[in-house]
Amino acid sequence: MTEAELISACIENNRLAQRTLYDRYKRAMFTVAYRLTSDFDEANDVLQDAFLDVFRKLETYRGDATLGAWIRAIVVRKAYRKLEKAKFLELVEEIPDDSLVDWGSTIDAEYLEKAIQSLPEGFRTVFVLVEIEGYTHRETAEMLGIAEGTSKSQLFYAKKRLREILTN
Amino acid sequence: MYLPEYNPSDDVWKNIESKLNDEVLQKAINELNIYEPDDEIWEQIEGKLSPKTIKFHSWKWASVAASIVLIAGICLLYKPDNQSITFSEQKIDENLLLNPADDSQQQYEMIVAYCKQQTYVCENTEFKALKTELEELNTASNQLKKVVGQYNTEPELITQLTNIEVQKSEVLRKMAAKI
Repeated sequence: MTEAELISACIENNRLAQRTLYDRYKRAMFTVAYRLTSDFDEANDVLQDAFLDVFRKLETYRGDATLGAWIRAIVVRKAYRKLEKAKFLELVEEIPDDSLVDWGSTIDAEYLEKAIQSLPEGFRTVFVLVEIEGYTHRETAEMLGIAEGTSKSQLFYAKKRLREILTN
Repeated sequence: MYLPEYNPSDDVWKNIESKLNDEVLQKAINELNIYEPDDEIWEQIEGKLSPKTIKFHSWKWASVAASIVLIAGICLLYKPDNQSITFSEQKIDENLLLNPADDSQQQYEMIVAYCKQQTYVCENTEFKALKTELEELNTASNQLKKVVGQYNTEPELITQLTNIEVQKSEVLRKMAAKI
């Protein structure tokens, strides 16, 4: 079944097609939800709400982005609503000219995972969206409802904090 | 004469340097785990989705309408006013009707009356056997007459009845000869 056929069947409320779509994207979307919320239970809730939205709004999908990107944007917004917006306002410092972070020669993925989960929500959200999910700062800023500069500064300080955690 | 050259923005190198610097980070990111949601999540999603519905496309509605028109047409074509009733008339052959007057019965009653006066003849074994045979033939004749009914339509039954009557006459003749 092609993706277009799958979408049509989902719109017609074909349960088998909906299950197929869910199975196709559930791992990637759950992983995003978990990275953003840093909590498996919260991530399950986010995934559930997000896919309900996906099936209810699939008729509005126009194919401007890939279906995966469209679903991921819904997941991000759902996850973001569970975060505390106020924490984005804590950091308004300018990014220093020498903004490069020295990562050393190698980073252990398992340690990195734990370090990401220990980041404050604002840092973690921007880091996940920009560095892991590949959104631009503009896209991230639009999704989160913050200024593009805020997104950049949040990312810089997120990296700096990560480096400190990994070093220690 | 050479066309002028242009300098890129300083940000270009900064971005390149940043990407190169973060390659170690990106390598570790590519090795991060992928997580699986709980199995119950789908059941919860399914429970909140609207029940299964079958969308009826316009062509399906058209086919239903066409079917109704077709059925209505058939009903009009075969309505009760157009029904025809066929009938046939059968005439009864009077030759096949049973004779209500039974002569053999009268003859039998005369013999019985005679036996009351002249008992020695009637006590004869041969006469008794003829009398028993005659009574059996009478019983068979009466049963067959009931089966034939008022309007005889079965020639085979009439043939059988005629044979019985012939046998009765023969028995009566033998009985009369004894007297």
